[in-house]
Amino acid sequence: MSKYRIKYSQDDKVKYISHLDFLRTVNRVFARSKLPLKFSNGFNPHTIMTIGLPLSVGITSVCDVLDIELTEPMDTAYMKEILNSNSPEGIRILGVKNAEGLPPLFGIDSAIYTARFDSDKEIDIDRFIAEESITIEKKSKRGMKEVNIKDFIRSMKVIPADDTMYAVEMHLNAGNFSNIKPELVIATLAQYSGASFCNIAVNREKIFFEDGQEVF
Amino acid sequence: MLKKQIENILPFVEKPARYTGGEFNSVVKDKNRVDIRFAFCFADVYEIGMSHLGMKILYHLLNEREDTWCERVFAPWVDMEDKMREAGIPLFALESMEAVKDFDFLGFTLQYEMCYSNIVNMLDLAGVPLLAADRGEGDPFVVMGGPCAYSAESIAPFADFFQLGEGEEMMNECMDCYREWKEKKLPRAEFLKMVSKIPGVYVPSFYNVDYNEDGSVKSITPINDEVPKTVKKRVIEDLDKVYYPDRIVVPFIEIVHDRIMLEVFRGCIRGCRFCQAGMIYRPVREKNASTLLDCAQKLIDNTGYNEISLSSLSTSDYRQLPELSEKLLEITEDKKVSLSLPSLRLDSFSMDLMNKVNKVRKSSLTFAPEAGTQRMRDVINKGITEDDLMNSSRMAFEGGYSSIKLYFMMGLPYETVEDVCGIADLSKKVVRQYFSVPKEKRSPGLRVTTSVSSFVPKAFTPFQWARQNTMEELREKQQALKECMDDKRVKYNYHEAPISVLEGVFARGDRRLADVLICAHKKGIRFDGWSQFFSMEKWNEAFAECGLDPAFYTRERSFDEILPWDMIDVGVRKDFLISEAKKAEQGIVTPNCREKCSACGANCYKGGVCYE
Repeated sequence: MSKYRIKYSQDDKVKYISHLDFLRTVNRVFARSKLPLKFSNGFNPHTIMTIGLPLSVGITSVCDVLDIELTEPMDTAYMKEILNSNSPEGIRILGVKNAEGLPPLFGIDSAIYTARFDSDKEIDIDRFIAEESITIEKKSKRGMKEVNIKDFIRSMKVIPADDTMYAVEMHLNAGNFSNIKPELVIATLAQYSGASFCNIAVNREKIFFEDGQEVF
Repeated sequence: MLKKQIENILPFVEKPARYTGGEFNSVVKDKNRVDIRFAFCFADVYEIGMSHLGMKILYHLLNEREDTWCERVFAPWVDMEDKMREAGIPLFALESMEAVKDFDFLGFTLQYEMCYSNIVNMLDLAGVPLLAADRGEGDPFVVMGGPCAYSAESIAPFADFFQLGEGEEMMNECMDCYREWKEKKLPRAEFLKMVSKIPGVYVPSFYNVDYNEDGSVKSITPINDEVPKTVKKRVIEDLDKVYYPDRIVVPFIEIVHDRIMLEVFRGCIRGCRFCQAGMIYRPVREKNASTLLDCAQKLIDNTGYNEISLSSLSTSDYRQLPELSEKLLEITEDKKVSLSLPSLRLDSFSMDLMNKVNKVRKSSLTFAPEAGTQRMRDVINKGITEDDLMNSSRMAFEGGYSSIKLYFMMGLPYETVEDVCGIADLSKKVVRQYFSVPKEKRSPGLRVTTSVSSFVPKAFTPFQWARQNTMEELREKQQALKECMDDKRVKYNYHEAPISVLEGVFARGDRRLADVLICAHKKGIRFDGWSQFFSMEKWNEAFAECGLDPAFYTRERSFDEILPWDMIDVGVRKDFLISEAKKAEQGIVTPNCREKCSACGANCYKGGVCYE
């Protein structure tokens, strides 16, 4: 079995495509690259691919990962090159490595995001960070549920802003066990501050396994 | 910067990926290194426009030129348009995100009449003067083409010029001509003179149209001796030698026809009298199977698409279908690509072929008898009999299909209520065929769906003189048919009558309708092809305000009346269309092009089926 782990970025050009659109796009990148893809058996053969952490619409990333199975081993440097030349501009392949023996992607449990935004008024982010508990409505599989958003935020800090008024870095729960969307944290911050934000740009910077290891 | 402004509104609109470009195989050039910037505009949303084969061809053809950058422009959906107008963002092109008003050309393809209101709206959103007469130095040239261009008089005052017919050669000639004009720094009017010398180019402002008191056309007069009396459409003589892209833009979001389209031939040998495509694309010209296979291979490699579809007006009439399909199946099976074969006539060969293609699921089959009685099918020259349909449906049911769709039209010339009710009879006979197949041989879950659209007479067909049914007549016929449709196993669908009437007005319109289009635009009319936006009331107001009556355009015309599109020559001659119209009245059928040449006139193009 030849399984490879691929690290890639998604920039502004592709941030509005849905997860399903992304899957279709990546499958076409693989098809164009003519890699010896392994297909599932059955009536509708499909590639055997795992996306580490689906990216919400509107968010960019410099650290996403996926695993793909091939029928035979390939040179990882060649894979990176051929995949890049067959990817749309907004998706860049940052690295490829053999996934044999690596922890499985379902073990992902947190991610670091940066968010940059403008606000219609001055806000106190440190006060938001210092709060013990902020209750919000969160969509779960069984409808809306009240949760303390701080339970999902591992850490959060103000970082230097470039073009925008504010910038924060936040380390959030992410993955199958506990997950929060970074845009929800930002929306909560706006609501908490009684402000309205615009020019919001959220980027996923790093993804981690449970043991704190970076995923790639 | 415009780009930044656009990015600011994108989070607030539905499907922002319609407006961001960046797809694989889309072409980005350095604008400082090109002489010509061409905005290829499709007056509908991204998902529809991106499915259009003509745009794929011409986009890549233009971008093959080093001196030209062709970009794509679609009609922004209503939410996006509202946000754009609010923020003062003009119509922009997907690749550069720059305003199209600064381009050299805006090219619109006219695929259906119901997009005309969107064209006016897009010109307005672009900030380009709506009428050609109001454009000056520095404004882009608006060029139009596509199947509706042959009789597009109602939209003609909005166009600086038209390209009539197939564009692969003509487009390059027009760009060469433009470069020459630009280098010589000549005034705007000079370009139109120069470009009008290219065969197939029609400049509406070079023709004066006068009207009789009753509103019919009195005369069409070229403004001077240099202007040809008629403009003849262009065709590509040899489709094996003409440009066909080996790569196409691969969209991120799902589009209507999200697959590779392999164009196997142009034109149709059948000569159905209601069908405009069957006349205006004459003569039939095929591509060689080897050309197509080569093309298919490259397109699969360069796009990564997992579906490929043959494209033509009638796939079964492609003479090399057996060898093409056999070799194509080898390629597609190897690459895990699925093959779809639309517009097949059902016989043992195609049944066998479909079984090879759909190994798994038997989807539904579609037949288009078009009319309910034999008399009516003879009137429209649809060369199929009831026996043909019964044999085909029996074959389908025996072959494991249980879902059949039937397409019909109502409102055809010389049609009676009996003919309309014949649609119900025929549908019920298809149901009976199902039950005549032994239970163990047929698949369970019979579904017969009968869809009936309203006939719209089109220019350059034998029915171009015919009276179109009024809304009331269509509604009565729909009602009558509904009453005959007493079998619950037949699902009956029909189209709304008002939209067909409006389509009919623009399909046979004259230049005076441009005022109605402007008036309709001021009333906020757009996206007429989308039933949630279509408003006949608003259109009626627009007609009334311009002092024009829609019924004038849908009336019967005499053979000697000057038609608004008489300055256009599509190869098929008027005397042939008249003889076909007379044969229709008597219910006499005309053999297809391969059985016997009927001397329609298309052999003037020196190629294709006329010389097989």
